[in-house]
Amino acid sequence: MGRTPRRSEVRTGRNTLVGCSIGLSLVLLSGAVGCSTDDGRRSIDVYAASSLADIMELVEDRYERDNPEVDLRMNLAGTNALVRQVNSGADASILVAADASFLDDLIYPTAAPPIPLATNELTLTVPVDNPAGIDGPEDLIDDDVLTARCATGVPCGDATDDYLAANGYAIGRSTEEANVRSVLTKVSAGEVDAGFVYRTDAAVTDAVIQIPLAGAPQVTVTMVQLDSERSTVDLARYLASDEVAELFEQLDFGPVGG
Amino acid sequence: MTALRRPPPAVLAVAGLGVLVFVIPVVALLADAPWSTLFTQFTAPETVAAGRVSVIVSLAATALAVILGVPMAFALANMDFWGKPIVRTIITVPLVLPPVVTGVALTSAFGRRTLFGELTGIGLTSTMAGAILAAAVVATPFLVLTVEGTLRSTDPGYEQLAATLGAPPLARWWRISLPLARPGILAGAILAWARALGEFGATITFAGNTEGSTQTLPLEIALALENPDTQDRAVAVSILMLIVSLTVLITLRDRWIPRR
Repeated sequence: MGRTPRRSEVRTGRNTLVGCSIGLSLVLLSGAVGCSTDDGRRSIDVYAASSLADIMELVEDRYERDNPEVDLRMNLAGTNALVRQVNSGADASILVAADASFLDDLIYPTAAPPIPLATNELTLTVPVDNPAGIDGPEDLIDDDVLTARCATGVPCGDATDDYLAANGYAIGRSTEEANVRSVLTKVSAGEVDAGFVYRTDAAVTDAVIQIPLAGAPQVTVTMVQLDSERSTVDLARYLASDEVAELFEQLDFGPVGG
Repeated sequence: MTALRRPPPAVLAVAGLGVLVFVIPVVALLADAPWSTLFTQFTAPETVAAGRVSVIVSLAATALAVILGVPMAFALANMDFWGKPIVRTIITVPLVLPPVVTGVALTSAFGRRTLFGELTGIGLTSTMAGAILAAAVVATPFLVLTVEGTLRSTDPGYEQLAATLGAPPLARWWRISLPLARPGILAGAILAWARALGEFGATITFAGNTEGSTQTLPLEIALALENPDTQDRAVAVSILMLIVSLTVLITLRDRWIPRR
């Protein structure tokens, strides 16, 4: 333990300085890159509910293939979070909500009336080996059963609240998640005994089994256009097209008004 | 503090700018506060439950950080052993990793579907023990680094003297080395506690968000933000955390850390 600083310690000081300036220039550089539209394509910001992750991936692939000059930038989160972001000035062109009711909270002016695209419904899922032996929502009251659910305020959470209240069920022990895909992840990883998700979420993985709910609440996937740019109008038209309706159907969404 | 050491005006200007970056958000948060209902929000059942969980989890995590961290800091500061750089890197990696990654790693290690989970029957998911472990893992590096720094600057003379007088190793460590490291341990414990209190990502990923057992104040804030009806509570609880943190940091700093 010498009292004088060793050579390596002295050098570390300078390395830190060099590292910082490299870090700083990277930040400046990425900032500069971020400002210009990359490779000259026009980008459209699409905000979509978490439950629409798979359909939006298909839409993005197809639309960008057919319109090479366009770059769709997806922002996936709970609908309530998306509405909050738009209300606080986020630059979204199109918002696709998991349920129409949440658009009431939108204070940002819309460029066109909302258009319903498809329907979905709440379902109960358990891990594929069903460790707690859940047969239906009546088993969730047990304190040994851990249930994942969306938080109140998130579309799937409000649907869960409505369902439980309307049918007189209660949950013993729960973990509250910010969006439906976090619930699905916890169920498919077997970290919880059961979870409330949408029917279409349950369909994307083999790691969960669905327990259909009698009188399950329905939600209506709804699109709203937030600006009148030519590219936004084109994309909105595509989203409401028969081609996209077919994609929704393939992924097990229900038809509007069906 | 000689006049010569006083930073030049240009440096002071940047420093002032830096202070503003920290002051503005705090002032803005206070300006957003729902003052009329603030007390009602503080005493809402959810806030009381989350506050209780936060107190227990952050204190238990700090205790764990001290118990495990102090011996690690001694080994790292006063010994040379094979693989020491690797050990130090692994201990400090939670400092730079996104806490979510720490949460994922903890789930892989102690989740329900692991060897640990099979043996215990449930694993640590959604248990308070899980929340404590998550907070301890992210908080311990702060303690280890702080204590190690203190140990490097302590005078080995006292330990040598004690050895000369025939004190056995454990007594020497307990009576001489540990008391000498006291300021570092206390400072490290404060830092670790502050980190544990603010912990969010690893907790929600690994321990989940269960009211009364893993839902701490930061998790309650995030949850309240999800609901348009509870925006006021999110701000109120944020202010509560700000008040608690400032109070503790200010009082403990003056009492425990000697001024230069």
